[in-house]
Amino acid sequence: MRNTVKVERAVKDITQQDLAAAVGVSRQTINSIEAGRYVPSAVLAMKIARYFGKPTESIFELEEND
Amino acid sequence: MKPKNYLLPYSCKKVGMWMFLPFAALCICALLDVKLPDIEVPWIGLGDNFFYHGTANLVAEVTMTGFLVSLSLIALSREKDEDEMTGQIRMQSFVWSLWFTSFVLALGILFVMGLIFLDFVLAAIYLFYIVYILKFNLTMRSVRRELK
Repeated sequence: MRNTVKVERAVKDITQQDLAAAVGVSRQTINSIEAGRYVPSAVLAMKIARYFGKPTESIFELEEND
Repeated sequence: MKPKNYLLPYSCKKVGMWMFLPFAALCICALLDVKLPDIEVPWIGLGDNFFYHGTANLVAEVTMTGFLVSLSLIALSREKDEDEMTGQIRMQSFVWSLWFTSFVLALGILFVMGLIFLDFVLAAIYLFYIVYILKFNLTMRSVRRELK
């Protein structure tokens, strides 16, 4: 699954730690999501999208092999 | 709704780690047939005729139980930064450990003969915990290292 979390974070000018605290996970989880090593649960994906004020599917997008 | 994860608080992990060293040392002594104090106490339990009523070596019983408790506390306590990714790593480590222990157990069933097989099965139970703890903590360490 592709995501634009890093881009959204840059637009909002916040750190991984800020985002992690806002959605209630650890910084390493945000780092792994941005690097594509971890696919978040639907709940976490929705929390992240809500934090950025965007629909979930505009931040998280399925890839061909998903 | 948050799913229950049945884990203990992080402080229990520290207690488990403090307990681990002395009990692991005692277990290794027992494995190497180092003479431990022989304190026989009256004991009740299950035996060949269903009920066992006799004596047991207190040091041996406490050593085995203490080692199991220390491993359980380490394996089943929350991390400082427990979240859903940690939960996934836990599950992967659990499955990995189950595969590994099953493989070792299968080798034991095939190639370990005689009464020593009972010791082997007992060791396999502890092996499951040890492999799980190693796999989980090594994975967490590599995840944390990627942050630096």
